[in-house]
Amino acid sequence: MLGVGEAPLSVADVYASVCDVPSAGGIDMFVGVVRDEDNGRGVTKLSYSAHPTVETSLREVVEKAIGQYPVHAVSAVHRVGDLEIGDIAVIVAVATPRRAEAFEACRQIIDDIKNTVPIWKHQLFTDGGSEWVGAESQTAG
Amino acid sequence: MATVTIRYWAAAKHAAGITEESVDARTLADALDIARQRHSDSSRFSDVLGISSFLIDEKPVGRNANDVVVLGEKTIIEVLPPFAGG
Repeated sequence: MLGVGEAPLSVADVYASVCDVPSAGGIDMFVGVVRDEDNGRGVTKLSYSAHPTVETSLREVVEKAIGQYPVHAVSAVHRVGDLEIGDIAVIVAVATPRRAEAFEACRQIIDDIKNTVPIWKHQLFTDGGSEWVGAESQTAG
Repeated sequence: MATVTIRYWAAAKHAAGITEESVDARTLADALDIARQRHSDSSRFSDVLGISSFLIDEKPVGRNANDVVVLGEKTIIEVLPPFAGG
């Protein structure tokens, strides 16, 4: 599974997409959820938006990992739109023959998503303020 | 000199107060200077521009290449603030 959309994300669906691979001995999953604070300020909700090229960029991130690690199955999905505290924002799942590569490939994919995939996060705070993460402070969450 | 469109995304759109606008400019740096002047009333606009990356007709522009990017007629410049997925 590869995609960016407004529908809620399912850990079970993503796991199912990578678990049926007999050659894989390890599956690593990263689940990113909406946290209730950022740099000491209470967060009420946040909104993700994306550039139209987002899915091409996400595919490039995944293909880079496939080129570097023995990835036998991989999924990466990111949600956009309005999210509440506790909602899943992103899931990455990687199946490899052994655990070490699964951890490394999964870590690389989530780091690359944060750094290179054109998604933006707008946070609303409990004190009434709001912030574009990374563009109005230098601390990205 | 070419007539080009500047399209703003996320924090840049918020700071500009508009989605896109048209400017007459020769290089990317010229176009951004004109935009800075137009939005000098926005306290955030210049700062956001300074940390953004740019697409020219959907292709990324390298860092510090703004002076050498010569614009063609109807070029679309896209202003992308720092990404914050995950």
